[in-house]
Amino acid sequence: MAHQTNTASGPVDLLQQLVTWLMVQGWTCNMSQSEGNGWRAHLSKNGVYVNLRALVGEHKFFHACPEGYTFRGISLYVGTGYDGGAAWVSQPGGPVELGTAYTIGAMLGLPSGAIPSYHFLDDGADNITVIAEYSAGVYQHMGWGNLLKAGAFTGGAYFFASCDFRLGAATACAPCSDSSTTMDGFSSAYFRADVDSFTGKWLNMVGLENKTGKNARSPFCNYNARGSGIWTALPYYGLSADDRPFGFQSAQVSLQNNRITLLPARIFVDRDSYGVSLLGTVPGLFYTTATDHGFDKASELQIGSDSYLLFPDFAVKKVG
Amino acid sequence: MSWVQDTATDFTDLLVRLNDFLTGHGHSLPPIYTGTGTGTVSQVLGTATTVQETISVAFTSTTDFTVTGSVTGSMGTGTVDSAFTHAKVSFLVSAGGTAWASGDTISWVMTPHWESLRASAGEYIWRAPGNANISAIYVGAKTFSNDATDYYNWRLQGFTGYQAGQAFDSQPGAIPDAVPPCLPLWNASIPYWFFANGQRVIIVAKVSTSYEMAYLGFMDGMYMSPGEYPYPLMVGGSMSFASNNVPGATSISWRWSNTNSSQHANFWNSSFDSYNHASQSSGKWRLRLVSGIWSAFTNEVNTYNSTFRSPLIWPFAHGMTGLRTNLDGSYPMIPIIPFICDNLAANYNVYGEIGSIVHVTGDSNASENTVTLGRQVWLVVQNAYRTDSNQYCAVRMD
Repeated sequence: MAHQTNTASGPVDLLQQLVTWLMVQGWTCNMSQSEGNGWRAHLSKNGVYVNLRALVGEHKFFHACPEGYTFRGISLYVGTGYDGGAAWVSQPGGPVELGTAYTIGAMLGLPSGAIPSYHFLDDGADNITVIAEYSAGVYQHMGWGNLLKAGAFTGGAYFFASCDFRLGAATACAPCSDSSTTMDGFSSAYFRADVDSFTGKWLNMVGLENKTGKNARSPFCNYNARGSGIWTALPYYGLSADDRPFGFQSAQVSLQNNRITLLPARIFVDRDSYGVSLLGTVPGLFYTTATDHGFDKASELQIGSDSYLLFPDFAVKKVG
Repeated sequence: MSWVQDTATDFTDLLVRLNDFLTGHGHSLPPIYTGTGTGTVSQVLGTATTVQETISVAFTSTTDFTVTGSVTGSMGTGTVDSAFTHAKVSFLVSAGGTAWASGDTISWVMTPHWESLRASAGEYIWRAPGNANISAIYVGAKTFSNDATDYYNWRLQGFTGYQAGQAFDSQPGAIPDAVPPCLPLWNASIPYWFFANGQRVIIVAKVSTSYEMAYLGFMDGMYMSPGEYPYPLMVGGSMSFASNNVPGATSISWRWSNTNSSQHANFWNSSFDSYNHASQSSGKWRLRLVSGIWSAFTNEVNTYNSTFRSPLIWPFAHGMTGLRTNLDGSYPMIPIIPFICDNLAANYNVYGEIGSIVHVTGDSNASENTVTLGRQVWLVVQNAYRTDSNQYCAVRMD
C-alpha cells in the first residue's frame, strides 16, 4: 500500500504530482501534457486506462453541461484503451451517455487558490483514491480501480468522484464547492459490468438519474444513489429521511467502547426482470461518522494492524 | 465448528440429544489452512475427554498426514478421505481440486465438553467453557406442553450463575419475563441440526415444513473485547409474546403452526408481538447488555415509544425485499448485526455480527441447501414457515 500527502498550487500541479506518483506505483504514462489552460494525462496499468484532465476555468469536457459553465478541478473517466490521436474525451471504452455517443464521467472539484492538502492512496491492487482539501475541513475525492467482485462477471472496473454530472440540469453544472463532498453515496460513480442484457457498457450511480441505461445502487442513505423506489430492495444502511436518525448508518460509533465501525461500500445493480444483485465492494473505502465523534479530519484510525485515514463520512484504508 | 444432523423422536428426545451433544463431546472452532491443497476438514467432533488444545494436521504426502494435539501430543497418522478417530477427536480430511502437498497444514482449536448442571424432567441447565476454556456461560432449556392443545415446546433461558436450589426461571440473571424466547416443537419426529463450539449452540429443528431455530450462549462476532463486554449472553428463539399478551395454557397460540408473524419468527429476523410493540418481553432475540438488562433486538423500527428507540437487527430492520443471487448465480452472504440507534436516549451501539449466521437470499434457494464459500460450507434455513426471498439465513457448518 502506498500513501503520499502534500500540498499543491492548483489543479495542474495536483495532476502533475499525481501522474508522477502513479508512475512510481507502476502505472504507464501514455500521455501527460499541457492542453488549453489545464493539463491532460492518460495512464494505464493491468488493463485499466484512466483519463485525467486538470481544468482551470475550462469547460468540463463532458457533453451535458452547457457551454459557458467553466470548472476548476480534475475530470476523469476510465476506459478500455488509449488512442494518442483522439481527444481527451474520446478515448476508447468510457461510459457513454444514454441515447448519444458522448463520453461522460465525473470530476473532483478544486478551489480557486492553492490546495491546502491532498492524499494519494494505492491499496496495492491498483485501487487508487485521491482526496483533496477544498477548504479547511472540506474534502473532495475521486478514485478508480476494480471491485472486489461478488461472484464472477465480465467487468469490474469502477471510477467515482465527488462532483455530480447531471444531464440537462444546468444548475448542477456549477463548479463543485462543498455541496457534494460526502462519500456516502458516491456523488458520481460508474461501474463496468455485464448484467443480463446490458453488456459492454457502464452502469451509473448518479443521483436518481439513468445516464447510461442501467443503474447501480448503494446502500448508503444520505444520497440519492440508492435510487427512488428501489432502496428497500437491498440491504440498506439507512431509513427514509424521517426515520434516518435511528437508522443503522447513524449508529456507527458505539458508546459502550467508543469505537468506530466502518461500513463497506457495497455496490448493487438492478436486474432486468426484478430485484437487485450484489456486484461487490469498492476496496478499501468505507462509510464512517468518526469525524463527528471526536476524530480529527485526515487523522488515522488504527484497528488491529490496519490503519485508515478518516474524512467526513468516509474512510480510506491506508495500511493493511 | 462441530455439528450433527439426525432425527429425534419427539420434543423431549430432542432435548436429551442436545444434552448428549453438548456434554458428551468436545467441540471445534473453524479450521485454518496453509499450503497448496484445497481440500477440507469436516465432521470434526470431540469426545467427553477432549481438552482445550489446538489440533494440527501436517501432510507428509498428497494423501497422508500426522495429527498432533498441542496438549495431547502425537495423536497418530491419517489418510485423506478416511475418517480419523482418536480418543479425543474425530474428523475427515477430504481432497480438493488441488491435491494436498507435503508441508500443508490444517489446524483448529478444540474446546472441552459443556457441563450439565441440571438434567431432569425435561429441564436442562448447562455451563459452557467458552472458546478459550476460561469462561462460565450459563444457559438452559425446559420443556412445556399441553396434550389437549397439541403443543410441545421448549422455553429458553440464559443465566449468570447456577443455584441448585432455585427453579429454572429463578436462576441468577435469568430473563425476568413471563415468557422468555421459546422453541415451538411437536410430539413427533423432528429432523434437527446442532452446531456448537465452546461458547454457544445453534439449534435448527424441522417441525413439519417449518424450521425453528434457537441460539444459546455468547454471541459470536462481537465488535467489543471481553474487557469491554465481559458477558455477551444471547438467547434466541422463534416464539415469544408480550408480557400482557401471554396465551393461556390451553391456547393454540403456543403451537408451532401459529402463523402470527409477530409472535412466531426465527430470532434473526423477528419483531415484537404486535399486541404490544413496546414490550421488550416479546423479543425473540435477547442479548444481555453490560447493564444486566436483557434487551430485545427486532426487525421492527419502533416509533411507538416516545422515550426510546428499540434495538434493531440489520439488515432486516431496513427492508431488503429484492436481493437476488449474484450475477453468476452464487449467493451473497450478508452479515446480521444487532445495533441500537436510539436518538431519543442518545444511545448508539453496534454490537457485532453473528459470524456463524448470515442472511442469504432465498432467490433460487431452498432450506437444507448448502452454500459453499471457499472452504466454508453453510446450511440454508428459512425463517420458520416463511419462504419469501428475504426470509433465509445460512448457518456455518465447518
